[in-house]
Amino acid sequence: MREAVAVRDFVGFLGRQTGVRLNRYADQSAFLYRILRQIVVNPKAGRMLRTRIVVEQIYFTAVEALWIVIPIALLLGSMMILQLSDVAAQHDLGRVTVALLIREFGPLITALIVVLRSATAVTIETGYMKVLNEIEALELQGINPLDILYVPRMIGITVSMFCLITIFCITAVLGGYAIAWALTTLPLQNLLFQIGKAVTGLDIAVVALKALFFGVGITVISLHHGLAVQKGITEVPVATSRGAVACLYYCLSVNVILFAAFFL
Amino acid sequence: MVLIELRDYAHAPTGRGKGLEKFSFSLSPGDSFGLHADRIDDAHLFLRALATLEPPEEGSYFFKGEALDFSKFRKLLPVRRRIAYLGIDATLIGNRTLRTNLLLGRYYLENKLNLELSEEALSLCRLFGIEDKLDRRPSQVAPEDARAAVIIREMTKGAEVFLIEQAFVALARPVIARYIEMIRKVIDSGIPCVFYAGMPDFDSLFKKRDIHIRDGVVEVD
Repeated sequence: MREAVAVRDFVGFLGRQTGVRLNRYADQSAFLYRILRQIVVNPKAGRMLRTRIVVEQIYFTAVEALWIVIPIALLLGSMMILQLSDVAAQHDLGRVTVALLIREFGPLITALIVVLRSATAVTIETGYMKVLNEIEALELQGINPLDILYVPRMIGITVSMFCLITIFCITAVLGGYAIAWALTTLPLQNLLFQIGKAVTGLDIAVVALKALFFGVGITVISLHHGLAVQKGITEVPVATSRGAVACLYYCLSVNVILFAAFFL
Repeated sequence: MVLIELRDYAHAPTGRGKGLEKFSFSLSPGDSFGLHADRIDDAHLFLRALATLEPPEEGSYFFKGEALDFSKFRKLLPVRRRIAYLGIDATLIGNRTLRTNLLLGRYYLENKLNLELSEEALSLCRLFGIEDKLDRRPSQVAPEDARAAVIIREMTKGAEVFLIEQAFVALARPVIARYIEMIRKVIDSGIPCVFYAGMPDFDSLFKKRDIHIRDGVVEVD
C-alpha cells in the first residue's frame, strides 16, 4: 500500500514538473514570437532610440567581452594545437582542429562567456526593473517595453554572438598556432594550410546557425527569467541562477541537435 | 464628456487590503476627488485601477467612451500616456540619467535623440531644485530629487487625468508648498484629479468630492 502511494506521488511529481516545464517553454515561445514580430514590424516610434540601445548592448556584450574572449581563445587554441599535434597525425591535424576548435569549442565557450557576462546581467536588470516598477514607468509614458528593452537585447546579443564567435575562432587558430610555433619545436609548418583546406561552407553555416540560435535563445531565456520575478528583490538572484543554468542546458542541447542534424 | 469610467469593476485584494468589490465610477473634466480608505492598499489599488495598471477581474474600463481590452497590451499604451500617475510606486528608469528619464517618452514618440528639455520642464526642474542634477542617475541623487523628477515627468507629458497618491511623501519640505500650488493649478485648469493624501488637512485643500473605500466597498459622495 505504502509503495503504491509512493509511486503515485512520484508519478504526480513527474507530471507536475513536466507541466511546469511545458508551460515555461510555451511562455518562452510566445515571448520569442512577440519579439520577432516586433523586429519584423519595426515600428517607426522609437526607432532611433532602439538603434542606440542596440549599439549599447553590442558594446556591453561584445566589445567589453573581448578582453576575456581573446585570452581564453589564445590559451585554448595553443593548448589544443599542442595536444592534438601529439595525438593526431600531421595530415589530420587540420581537420581535427576545425572539428573541435571551430565547430564545437569556439561557439560553445563563447556562448558560455556571454551567458556568464551578459545573460546574467540581462536577467538581473530585467528582474530589478520588474520589481521596482520601471517597466510600468515606461508603459506610463506610452513606450512599448518590447521596443526598447527586449528587441534591442535580442539584436544586440545575437550580433555580438556572431562577432565574438568569429573573433574566438580566428584568435584560437592563428594565435594558438603562433604560440605553439614560438614556444615549441613541433612540426606545424603546414597546419594553417591544412585548416584552411579543412574548413567547408557547411562548417561556416553551422557555426553561423549556432551563433543565431545561441543569441536568440540566451536572450529569450534570460529575459523570461527576469520577467518571471514577481514579489521582491530577493527573487532576482534565484532567477539569475536559474536563467544561467537554463541557458547553459539550452546551448548544450542546440550544440548536440545541430551536430546530429548536419554531421551524423 | 466622461473621460474614465469603471463599470461594475471588481478586483481581488492586494497586500493587506480587502480588494475592491463591484463598483462603478466615472471621472469627467473638472472633477476633483479626495480618496479616503480604511486601508492604504485599497486606495493604492483604486488609483492603479484608474491608471489601467490593474486589469479588472470583473467589469469594464472605458476611456473616452471606448472599452479597453486589457488583453491587447499595445492598445493600452496610448491611454496610459494620457494618465499622469503619481502613485507611491511611480519611479524612474534606474540606469538612465534624470534628463534622459524626462526625455525618454519624447525620444520614443518623436523618434529623435537630439531633443532638449522643454521650457516647461526646465522651469519645473528649477522649481524643484534639480536643474544641476539632471545628468546624474536616480541612485546618485537624494530620494526627494528622484521623486521630483517623477513629478516633472508626469506633469509635462500632456496628461488628461492626474492620479496622485501620498503626494508629499519623499519630497523635500521647501518644495511641498510649490507642489501644492502646482496641483491647485492643475485642478483649476479643469483637468480631472483623484488624490489620496492620507492626511485630512491636505485633502481639504483640493477636493470637491469624496471617494470612500471601507472594507473594499467603494462609495462616491
